[in-house]
Amino acid sequence: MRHWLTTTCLVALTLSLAPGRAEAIPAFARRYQTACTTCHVVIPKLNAFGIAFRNNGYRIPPNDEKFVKTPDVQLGAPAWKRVWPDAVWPGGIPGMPPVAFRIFTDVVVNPSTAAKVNFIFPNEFEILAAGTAGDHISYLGELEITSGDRVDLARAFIQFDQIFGSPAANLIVGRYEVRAVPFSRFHRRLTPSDFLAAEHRSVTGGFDFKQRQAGFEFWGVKTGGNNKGGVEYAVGVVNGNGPFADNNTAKDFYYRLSYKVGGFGVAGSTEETEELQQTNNWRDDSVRFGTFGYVGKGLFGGIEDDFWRAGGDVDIFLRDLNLSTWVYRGRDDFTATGVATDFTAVSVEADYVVKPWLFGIVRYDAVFRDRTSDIKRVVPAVVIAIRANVRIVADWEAFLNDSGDTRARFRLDLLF
Amino acid sequence: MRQITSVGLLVSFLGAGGGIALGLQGASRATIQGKVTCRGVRDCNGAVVFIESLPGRSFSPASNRVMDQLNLTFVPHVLPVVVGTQVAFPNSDEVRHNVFSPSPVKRFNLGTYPKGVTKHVVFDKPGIVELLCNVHAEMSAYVVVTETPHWVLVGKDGTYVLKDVPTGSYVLRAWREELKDQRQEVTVREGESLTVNFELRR
Repeated sequence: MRHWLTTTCLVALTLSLAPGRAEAIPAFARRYQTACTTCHVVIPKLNAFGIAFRNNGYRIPPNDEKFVKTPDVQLGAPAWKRVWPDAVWPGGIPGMPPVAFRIFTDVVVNPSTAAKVNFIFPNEFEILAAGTAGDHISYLGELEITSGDRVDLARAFIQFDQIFGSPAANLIVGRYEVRAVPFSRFHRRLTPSDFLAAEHRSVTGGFDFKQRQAGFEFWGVKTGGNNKGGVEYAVGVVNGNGPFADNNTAKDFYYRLSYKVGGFGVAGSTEETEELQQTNNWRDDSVRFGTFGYVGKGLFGGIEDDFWRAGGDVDIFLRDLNLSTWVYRGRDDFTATGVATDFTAVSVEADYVVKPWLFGIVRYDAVFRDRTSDIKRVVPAVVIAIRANVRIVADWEAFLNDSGDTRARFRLDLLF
Repeated sequence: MRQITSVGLLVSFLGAGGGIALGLQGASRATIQGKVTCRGVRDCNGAVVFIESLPGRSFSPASNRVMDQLNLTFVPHVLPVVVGTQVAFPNSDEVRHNVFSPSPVKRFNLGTYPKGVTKHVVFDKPGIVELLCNVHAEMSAYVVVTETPHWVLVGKDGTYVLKDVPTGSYVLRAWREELKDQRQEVTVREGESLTVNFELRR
């Protein structure tokens, strides 16, 4: 395995030495003709500017129009607003199709399986679509085609942005990742392996935070004083069981509340800028404290499960280091059997920007279960951005419990 | 400010920056200049700075003001005129157009007409008049109807110079489509060059 790691790193380092300006070209990069690194520390992890962009309904705050290189096709001139309600309110569509693609291939090394080295080429092909539809409406869709020929509509939602004229009030309708998840698979996770705390289930087929949900989410952000930090909140109601068709009448509810001290404003700056910063834009000296909760009723294998999750998280940025942790307590109450399962899930991660194209990550994941044995895992990883839109990732999952299982994965990830 | 006469009216367009110099018989040599900052839009193109009114004064409307329809756009996109001005609306396109305005300041509908036909509208009240085409939803334009001939089209960079303005105290107004307009009271003295800046937001 050491040989694999060394070879991969050498290849990546060689490629990264090649000259040329790296440009990412998915939908937003095309729209603004800017690099992925404008919004991402490295794909998919958003930097503070990228978070503000997302929080503004996929618009660059405070003056999106100034940065759009391919203007929207107007569906009616803005002056048609004056004719409403005797005419349809004007809208807009992107000047070019807001579509992007992602393909990634994995080499998985697992000594405990029959095939110790497995080429999963490709592991996944994704079609991404995202953009704005005139004032106050945006959308995002993601279709995943995996190596098992499985097609999954991972996300597809419409968002009503800045309902009262600021990012303090927004509404999502569709299938999405709930904001109760403090460290998103889509915007935060750098490793191929997921946060154990996100994917842990008390029962097969039961609830976990990794699931995409169908429902409504009302959320908002407000930048704090001096254009720094600020508050974020979200409340939502979702199907819970099954993203498309619920298997019980009960709905699940969740909330999220966080406050960021210092750093870039969560809704961006109110000061207009002429430039989109490309250097050191991963730095955002700040601390964010958050709390989240989720309560629902599931129906798994014919057994009802009243469950809840409640926890908190801390996200610290200090120069090139990002330390983050999230901890939550969970309970699944299987009323039919009278059995309750309690557990505590923890993830602690340190990300370090060695170079703008080289990242080191180490994460400790654990689930402490009251009735059965605990699960503990350490995941060291390296991410090398050989281009702004191409990355190589190597991660190693080392389980600390009795099984001593380990698994390594090498991923080549391309967005275009 | 002395009486302005139409005889002394000299209108000159100053290129893309937009601007009108009024050579006024016995006019003040004062100037108002400054910068309009347009927040939330690409640039200040199409913004207008004008003296809103000069009580007790009346001004003759200009003649030969034209809002053409060419290549499925109104030309120009913004047309400032003095109250009472008659504007011609020729159709220079190969397709038919239907110019109308939903504006309470001047509500009208010229109906659908082909190339070569010109229709006319007199703008008899001050205010902003939106123009739309009932055939082509993407077309729009504005007629900025002012009570005085003291107006200037602002350049993309937001700078403007309003020459030969009258002395005294009055209200200066900046307007741009999609932004909230702004008014500032100014006092201008003979021969002065006054700087007045505006910041327009959505």
